[in-house]
Amino acid sequence: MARLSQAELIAGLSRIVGAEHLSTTRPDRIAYSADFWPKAQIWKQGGDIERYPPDCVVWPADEAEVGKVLRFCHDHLIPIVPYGGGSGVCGGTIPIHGGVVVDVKRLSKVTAIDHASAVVTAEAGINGQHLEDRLNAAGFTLGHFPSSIMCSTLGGWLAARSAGQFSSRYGKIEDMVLSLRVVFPDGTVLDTSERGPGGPDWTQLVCGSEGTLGIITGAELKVNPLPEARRLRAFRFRHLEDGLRGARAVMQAGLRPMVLRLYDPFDSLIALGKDKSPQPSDRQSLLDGIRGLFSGAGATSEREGLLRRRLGPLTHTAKRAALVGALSAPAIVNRLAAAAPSPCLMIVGFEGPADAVHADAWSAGELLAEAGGVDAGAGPGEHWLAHRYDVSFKQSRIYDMGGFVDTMEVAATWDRLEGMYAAVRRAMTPLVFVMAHFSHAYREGCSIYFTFAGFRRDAARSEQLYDRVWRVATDAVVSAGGTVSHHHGVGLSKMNAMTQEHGHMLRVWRALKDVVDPHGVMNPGKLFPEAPHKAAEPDSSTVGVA
Amino acid sequence: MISPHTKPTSYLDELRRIVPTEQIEPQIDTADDGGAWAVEPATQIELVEVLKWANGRHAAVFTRRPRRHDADLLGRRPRIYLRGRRMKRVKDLDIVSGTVTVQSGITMSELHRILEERSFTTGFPTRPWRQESIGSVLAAALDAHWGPRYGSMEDQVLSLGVVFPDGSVAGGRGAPRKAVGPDFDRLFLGSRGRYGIIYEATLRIYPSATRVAMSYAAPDLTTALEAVRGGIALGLDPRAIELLTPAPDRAWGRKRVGLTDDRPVLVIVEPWGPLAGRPVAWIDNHFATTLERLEPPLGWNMHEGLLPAPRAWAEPVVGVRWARLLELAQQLGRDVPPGLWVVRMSRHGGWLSLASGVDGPSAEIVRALVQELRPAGPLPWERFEDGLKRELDPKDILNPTGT
Repeated sequence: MARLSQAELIAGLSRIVGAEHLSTTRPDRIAYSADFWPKAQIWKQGGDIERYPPDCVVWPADEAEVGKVLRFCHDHLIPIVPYGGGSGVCGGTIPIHGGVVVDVKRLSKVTAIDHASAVVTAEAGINGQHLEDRLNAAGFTLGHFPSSIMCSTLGGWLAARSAGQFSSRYGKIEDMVLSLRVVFPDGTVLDTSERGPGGPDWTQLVCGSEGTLGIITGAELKVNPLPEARRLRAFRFRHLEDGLRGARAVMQAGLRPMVLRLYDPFDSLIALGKDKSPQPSDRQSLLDGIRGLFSGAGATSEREGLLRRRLGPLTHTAKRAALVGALSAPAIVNRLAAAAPSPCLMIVGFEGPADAVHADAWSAGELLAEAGGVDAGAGPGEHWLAHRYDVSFKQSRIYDMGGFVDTMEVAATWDRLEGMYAAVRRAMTPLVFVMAHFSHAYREGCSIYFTFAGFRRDAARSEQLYDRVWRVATDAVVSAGGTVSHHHGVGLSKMNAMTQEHGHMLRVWRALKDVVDPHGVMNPGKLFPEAPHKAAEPDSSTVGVA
Repeated sequence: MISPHTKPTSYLDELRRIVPTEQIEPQIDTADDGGAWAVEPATQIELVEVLKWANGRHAAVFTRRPRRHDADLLGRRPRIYLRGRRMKRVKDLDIVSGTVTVQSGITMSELHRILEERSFTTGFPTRPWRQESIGSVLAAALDAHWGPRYGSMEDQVLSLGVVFPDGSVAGGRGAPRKAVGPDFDRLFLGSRGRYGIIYEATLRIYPSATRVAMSYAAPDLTTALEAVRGGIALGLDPRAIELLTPAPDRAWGRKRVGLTDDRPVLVIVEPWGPLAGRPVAWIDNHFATTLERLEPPLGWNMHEGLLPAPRAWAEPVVGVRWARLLELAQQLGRDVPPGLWVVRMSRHGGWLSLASGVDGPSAEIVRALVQELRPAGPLPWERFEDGLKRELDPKDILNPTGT
């Protein structure tokens, strides 16, 4: 197969999508060269702002154009990187082999809302909040509220098996999807809605494939009536294990809270706002400083602006020195945080028919009190609800100061959860500052959301530290019997853990890949290691080649 | 590679080195085929070794009973008919997480009996397929009549252990939810042993369910659907909601459940297990009193013990959304055919079927809908599934079709 020149590529794709829906400009290529993967931020810290630019970006108008673009790239062995909102945090949309980024945001229609059946049909490029707005106007909610809802798309959710903050009640996106439409590289469109009882479920074989099999162009999803009532409550637990016992009791009693979050001691400090101590000790000042750094940074940030208040009077140099001091000795800071006299905070909330909400909240309160929980009122829960989207669009200020921050969401069954929490903390604490909360609770287990921050004096060393932290953390998770991702997906960041995670089951993926993407053009180099089709690095004269 | 000179007796000797003699039963043989044996591995290791042997000998391995034409289809290939009934151990009952890990040969009734002793149940129905093994139920994706509370059969599976045709083993204990690529277990659920053999499954378990059912005999399908919808809107999510009109050959319990010629459609609601530590009786009353709040009052009956199941699904079953169900109800009016059932109902729809041997205009309307909703012709993913078979089982060892 003759390689295409850049000009031939542009001409070929322009004929499909129109010249106005194709870009090779440098700003666009920089913009699409990375998603929200923190490692890409570290690259940028080091001045490397376009490590993996695509050859071009296209914005097809509809499924037919997506099919033609894919067929064109398939025929000419050009890597394809599907792109939705670009809010991924695992590097899943980074065009590491160049090629064509296919941004599906123009596929943004709500095709149908079936009121009688409570089912919505929508195109994959629709923005998450726009979809929810449309549903709300029709009296429904999807019940899917990831913190990235304003900058992510339906297709991205499905491709990465996203979870919303209310997953304990409504499930993850794979629980909501009834069927989907996917375009494979040879242009074939697969509609999975025709499934009868029996037979493999292709919806779930495509869901989570992160663009390595095809491009999802639309989906049918279950929706729910807008809730009549909502009730949030917080509880304090003296010990983390008491809180976990309470959480398990609530879920296994058959209750379905919309949210159930249990913060570990340091994360609780942030959520409870312990910073108002009248006579702060030196230790508390240090903790406050670090707490402030996390605010507006990770998913746990509850107090936007705290950093500014805490460190505002200081010069940039002084702030940086404080950060360097704290994060250069993570073991000490972690020990201090662990010794902090903080109870563990739990937020639990219900929504739905008013009677059911009242009864369920009462039942949950009884169970949590039995586990040692003390009612902390509605305030923390209401505060969380009001500020739950304060993250995601904004990169942490830690980056401005030369550090990095990231999150890791893992999951396990209840019997392994505490062991996994301890193992991951043990692995990470010598290297980075770490805190966590337990959320996305289910009958059989729960997810743990670790937030960690580290620092090295230059970007190269930061990258080394970052890789090391991920390696030891994912090893700890696998050894403890958990899964390394609950809802962020794999991308590049967790790819190396996939052999441990899946073992011989990876044969199924390789078989799938051989069958639907024989040329290996779909998002090459992502999701699973040892891809059957080894992609070559692009040279300067031709476009990326798979 | 099979040698033309290898005798079935030498195959038998080889198999005896893998599994004890009492676990091998010769099947009806003909002079010119390669031999056929029913083999009952007792452990995962034995299963793996049998498959490796089959690979080496290019044998065919079936997970079903022998059929008359198997030898004609496969010529001189030796045939193994796997029986799973010795692999029936409960490997782990984790009451902390609410999961059970079982070998695939355990029967549904045995699993339920063991769980019942600990006051648990599975998300599978207890009535149909009592003598089926969990492995066969999973491999055939025999879907349950279970409703919104527990979800579908696939939803009950936390993880699968699978042996591939070449004897390699995959799988392990799962997490409650994952985002680590596609859910590969789904390939094996419903694939009828084409790609691998399920040797183990970790399933969700639940507190023992209540043993009552609420029923309401409705005058027509529209009223019955409204009753179901009303119950769901009041926040009930029972483990099962069904609509059915008894088939002509099933006269069971018509009087018991209040069915008459004027009220031919039965709505069945089965509550589930205890809530927040409350006794089962509380749930029963909760459901009963909630259903009584429906307007107009419908007159629900509460029955001790679960109602009899409809027959096993021999007729086509199709998923149908509420909108279509309402249209169907309007078309039928008060002329609802016997033998109709809608199971696994939720706020989004259910699964519809009609018994065979029912005639008349109303039956034709239902059949037309079933026909319309059935996928016509080859399913779009069938060619991918054929490709997967070639990739995962290049020697066509597992459940070959002879092509």
